[in-house]
Amino acid sequence: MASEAGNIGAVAYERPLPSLTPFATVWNKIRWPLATVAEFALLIAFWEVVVVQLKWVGAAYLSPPSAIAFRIDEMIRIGYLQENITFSVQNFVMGYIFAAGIGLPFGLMMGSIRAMDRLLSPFVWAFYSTPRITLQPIIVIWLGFGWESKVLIIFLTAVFPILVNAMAGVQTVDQSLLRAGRVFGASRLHMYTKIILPSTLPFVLTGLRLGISRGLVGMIVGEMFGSSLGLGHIVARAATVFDTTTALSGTIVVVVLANIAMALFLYLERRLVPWQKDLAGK
Amino acid sequence: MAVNTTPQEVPLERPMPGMTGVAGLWQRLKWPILTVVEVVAVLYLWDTLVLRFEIVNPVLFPAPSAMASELANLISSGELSDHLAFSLRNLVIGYGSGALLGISAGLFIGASRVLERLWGPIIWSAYSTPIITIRPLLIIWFGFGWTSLAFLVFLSSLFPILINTMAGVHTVDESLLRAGRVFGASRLQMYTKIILPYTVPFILTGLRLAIGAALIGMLVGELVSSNMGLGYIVAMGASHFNMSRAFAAVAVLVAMSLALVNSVKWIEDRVAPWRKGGR
Repeated sequence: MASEAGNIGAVAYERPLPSLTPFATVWNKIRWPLATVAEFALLIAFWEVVVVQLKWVGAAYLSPPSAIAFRIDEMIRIGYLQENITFSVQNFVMGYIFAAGIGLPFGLMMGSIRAMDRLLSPFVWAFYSTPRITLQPIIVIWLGFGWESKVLIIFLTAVFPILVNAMAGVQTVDQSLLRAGRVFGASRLHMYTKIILPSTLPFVLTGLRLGISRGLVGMIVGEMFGSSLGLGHIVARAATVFDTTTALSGTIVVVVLANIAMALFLYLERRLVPWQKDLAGK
Repeated sequence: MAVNTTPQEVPLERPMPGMTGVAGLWQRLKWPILTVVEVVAVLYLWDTLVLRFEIVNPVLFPAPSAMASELANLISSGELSDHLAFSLRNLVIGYGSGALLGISAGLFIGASRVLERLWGPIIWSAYSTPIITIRPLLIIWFGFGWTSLAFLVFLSSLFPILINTMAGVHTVDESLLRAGRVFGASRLQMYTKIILPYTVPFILTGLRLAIGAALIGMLVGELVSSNMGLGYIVAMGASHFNMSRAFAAVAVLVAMSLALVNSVKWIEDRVAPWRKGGR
């Protein structure tokens, strides 16, 4: 970003590297991923040793990774895990699609129509700044304990980041581009498709990404509070009977699934807006 | 991270004719006044729909007036201040320690390439995960008291601050670092004179994002097995079908989060006024 602009005229002060052998090139490329894998393996081994061999922590509080692996395998074999994952993922997809389907058009409209922005903004901002998950107990009373209440809470948690970012995206379109478009006689439709949407896309994608992480929070809360199915339910239920192993297994499944969802989305984002750098600087 | 690099725009519109007195004041106050009028109108409409026309069941959708009187009850009985104090205390303890650890660890990790490569994947995967999943495990580890609640707030606020601080350290202008090295700055001076000032806006963004995360952590803790706090009032009110009580607590929460978010924004504008926009 800013540093790049500052670097343009700068002469690189490191000496150029000598040309690498093929082996060295490959090694350079896989070095850090390998280190990451090795690190995770070490961490897991350390965890196992601390709990099983050294007994620094009671196994009732922190089950060893081996026990967790066995439990996950067991849950898969009896179909318990699949059933709950299906429930969670189905609700999430449904709620998220509703959120994107409503959040995007409303956000774009609020960004471009001033009166609409003024009318709806107070409510949108109030909702946006409040943690919507606090409505979960109320939603359970409205819609019951089934999947409907989960879809609604996922929708509510995901829709506002999507909407607000789409709105902000339209509002920050470069004015000089709009003026250039007007000067060259672009129609209203052309202004949208050629100028506003492309420069809004990074914001929309950021909103959609935030929507995923917020929606996942909504999903878990929805399942922890008044539910008999889902990943959040597995964890909450196990903890109430002090079954640490199952609770940890459920938590790890959530971690893995959330990371898969996020990685997929980041990949998509990089394909769609390659010029935009994310926070990781990748 | 949208960086608007456009230089100061020349306004295209003709300047407004100089407005004096009433017209100028009205121009400035028009939208705030209309907003208040609008909110009042919506609340009034809701009230009449529920009470007068009984379109929806007041047990499920209580009228705003019922919520207001319930809120007055909560305040006058002193219940609200007890629960609010409990919530706020956990929030401050958790958020404060999250900010402390997040900023210091972020500066440290972000400045070292090796640490960044090693810890980055772990931190990012924690950041991508809904942290609140760990709530039931925290009950096993810390029991039902305030420690587990404050710890959840701590975990929730830690990662946004940590990640933004790390990102901030990254974007420090290389040429400034080189200049510092050329002029013989010590390691400590590099930190205090170059890296820290450059990172401040990022830290502030992290602190602002963490407010939302911390509130979520606080609420989830209180919704799931707690007997104190604002989240507990909501959960208890709803499960006793006392919806106006639940909604009154939600209204307090809305006010509280708006106040917190806006005060951090205010601080952000004061401390790093050169970095505007990007909410």
